[in-house]
Amino acid sequence: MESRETHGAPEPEERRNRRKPGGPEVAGPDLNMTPMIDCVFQLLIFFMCATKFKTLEGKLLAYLPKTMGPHNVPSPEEKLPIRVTLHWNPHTRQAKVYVGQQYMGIADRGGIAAAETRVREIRTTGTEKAEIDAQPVLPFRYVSDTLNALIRSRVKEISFAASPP
Amino acid sequence: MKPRKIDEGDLKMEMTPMIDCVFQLLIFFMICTEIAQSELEMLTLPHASESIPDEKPDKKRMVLNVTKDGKIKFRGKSKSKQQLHDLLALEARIAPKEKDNPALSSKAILIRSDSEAEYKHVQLIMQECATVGIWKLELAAASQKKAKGAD
Repeated sequence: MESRETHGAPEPEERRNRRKPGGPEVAGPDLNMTPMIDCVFQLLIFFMCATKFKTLEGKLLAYLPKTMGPHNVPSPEEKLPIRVTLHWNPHTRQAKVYVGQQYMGIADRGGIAAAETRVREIRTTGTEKAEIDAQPVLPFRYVSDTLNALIRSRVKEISFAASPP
Repeated sequence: MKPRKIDEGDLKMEMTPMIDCVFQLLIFFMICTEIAQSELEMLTLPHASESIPDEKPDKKRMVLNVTKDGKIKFRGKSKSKQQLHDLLALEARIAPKEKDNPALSSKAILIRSDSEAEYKHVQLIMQECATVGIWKLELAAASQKKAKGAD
């Protein structure tokens, strides 16, 4: 009885040699793929670990005064904006919050929330503008928190005070 | 029934599709890494409940990053005050103008500042923006606490 191994499907070696039409039946050199696959996998794992995909972030809209050009001269009847001042104490590492001249408290201990309440009260008098005056050394998160509180209190125009040169 | 015996010499794993897939993945991750790192620095953004999602941003919008140590970075490179001014001036010059005031740019720029960075660096960007006629700003914020930027 004929065995399947010898007379059935051709051997892989024979199959390779048959691909060369007309050529002598010489086996080609065997390419060792293992080191290349190892390297590629190493690279793949590296890039998979190193990749930081862009995630959806939020943003707060802020507008600077339109001071350029001839079209934006403020009218004298305009009301003064609500001034929210942030004062940073580098020794205690605390930010004090003021609305106008009124002290609202430490920013991390409800000062910004108190300022928000006060701004809401002032808004009822018809003032729709607010200005954030922050010290240059203040950590940015306090400015962001204040801006967030002013947006929450539905102030229409929020601007930033320029620091003295 | 007796299990069929297979000669182990006949078994050859076809590697080509696997290598194709691996190379595709490799190229994908290489490109993603490049894109993600070019614009956005790894920052801890401040939390803001009133922030609006930055969906479908203008692809040509300028993104300035302010790191915790006070470096202002654009596309991964630190910029000095003069370089920042030149950069913003160029941006303002090529941007479309406001209809009611042609001295002002109608395009917004995004400022991504670390929550612990000193405000003066953001203030510097704002001042330079005001000087060159950019008045629309977007301040990046995380909508969840402890969220990290660019991850």
